[in-house]
Amino acid sequence: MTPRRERTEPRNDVSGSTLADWDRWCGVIVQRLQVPLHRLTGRERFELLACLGKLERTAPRHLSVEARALRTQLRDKLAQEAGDALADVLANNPLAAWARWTAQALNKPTTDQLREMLAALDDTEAAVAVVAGLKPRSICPDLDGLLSACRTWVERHGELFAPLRGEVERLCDSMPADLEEENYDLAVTLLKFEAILDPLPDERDTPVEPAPFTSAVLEALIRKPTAQ
Amino acid sequence: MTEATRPTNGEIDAAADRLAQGGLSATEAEELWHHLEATVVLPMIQRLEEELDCDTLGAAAEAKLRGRLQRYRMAKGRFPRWLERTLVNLARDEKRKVRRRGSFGMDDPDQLADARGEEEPTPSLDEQLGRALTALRQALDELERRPRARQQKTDYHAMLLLELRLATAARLRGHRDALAAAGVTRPEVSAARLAWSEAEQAREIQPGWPKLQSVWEILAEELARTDDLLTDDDVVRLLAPLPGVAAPTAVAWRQWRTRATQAATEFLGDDRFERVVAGWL
Repeated sequence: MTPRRERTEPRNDVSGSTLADWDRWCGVIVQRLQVPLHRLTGRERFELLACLGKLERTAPRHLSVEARALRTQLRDKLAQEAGDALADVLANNPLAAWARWTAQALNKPTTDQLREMLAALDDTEAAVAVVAGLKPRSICPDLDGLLSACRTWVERHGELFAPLRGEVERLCDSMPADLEEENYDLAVTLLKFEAILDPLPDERDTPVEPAPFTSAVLEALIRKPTAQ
Repeated sequence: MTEATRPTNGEIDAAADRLAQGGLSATEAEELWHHLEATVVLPMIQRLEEELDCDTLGAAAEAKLRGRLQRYRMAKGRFPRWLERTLVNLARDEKRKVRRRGSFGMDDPDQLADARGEEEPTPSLDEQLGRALTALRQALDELERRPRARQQKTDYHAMLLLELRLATAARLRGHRDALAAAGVTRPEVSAARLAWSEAEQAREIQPGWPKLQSVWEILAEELARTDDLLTDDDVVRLLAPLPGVAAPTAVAWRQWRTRATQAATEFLGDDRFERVVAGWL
């Protein structure tokens, strides 16, 4: 049975979005948990790492009991079996298509194209974050460089991803508040989402429209009676 | 540096961790910092300056990075990733400073942490908002008490008060459903959070104009009706019919706004204005 997230958090229900599909991630883990890592293809191992990274980035209260248990089991499995199985797994990342995606994104992209691009970057970052905690020396500097360049591209073009803001905001809402202080390799995955939620101003645009408050700030403003 | 001497990721993380933990002599700390600077920090700053088109990042990083480095812990991840996040956040600050656009520091944990000291826990959003509002109110009270130049016709303090409410209302756009569900409009939220004293309500932007409160009510009506930004043209058009108002041009209105923020900056100082006021504009 596919573990389900608790339904008490409807704001985080973005089923159908590859950016935030906890059910699918858990399904991938359930399917592959019992198979020895060396029997999985490189791509399957990569996906497993990406799913774990994204579950690690989710606050426990947003995960079902089953999902939390799966996360722990997969952590244990990787700690025991990782070894050589992680050596080249990151080479299976989907970012070979990044240059083509950026060209598409600058030329009337569909929402699906934007989502695919962002999800591919997120998967790779999440997988790298898991490997960083297990076997950091197996992360090739070229991949770190590629990821930084991808993040910078999104940083500069955050406005392009405006159609995904709702999904991204709900995904960010699912993350623990102290992620930045607790796991730097996972925290860096937030940069692209922040760039989308609050894109950097471009000096060439005048006048600048002030960025709308996020839903969380809006709620706080409505709640807060006045200055303390 | 040759391939043979280039440090591995693990060595870089360990060096940053040693520096962050402290307990080194001044010479050791300096040597370690220069090592990190040469191998990781400066190359990343140069790349981000170029790719993010932010030529002030280096100066900002120099002022803040070493202080923030104390927070780095090797057990929590790789130093280059910690550094990347920190530098991108600094670059964002720099870019926003340029355009005076922000969100009163509430989405900038580093800036907040700097302001409150290293050891305090991260405050909740409500606490941050309360503190930001309190700091803003104190600054506005000080601004209100400053002597006004005799020859100055335009009341720049009144302009600033109005500008703060308009900017806050502007940032509440796109949330129409949520506001309706809470039974409030965006000008109501804006006015409630940025409340004016009776004396402030009675100010006149120009001699003979209606009181500031009346000006706000006209604009608030439009803000409640639409979910758009009010441009300078909109404001001038809406205020023109008010009794006593010799309608300014949009250009003049924009100049009053600019002068209002300049006057506040001059009185409060760059740092305090940026920290306390600019984020609301």
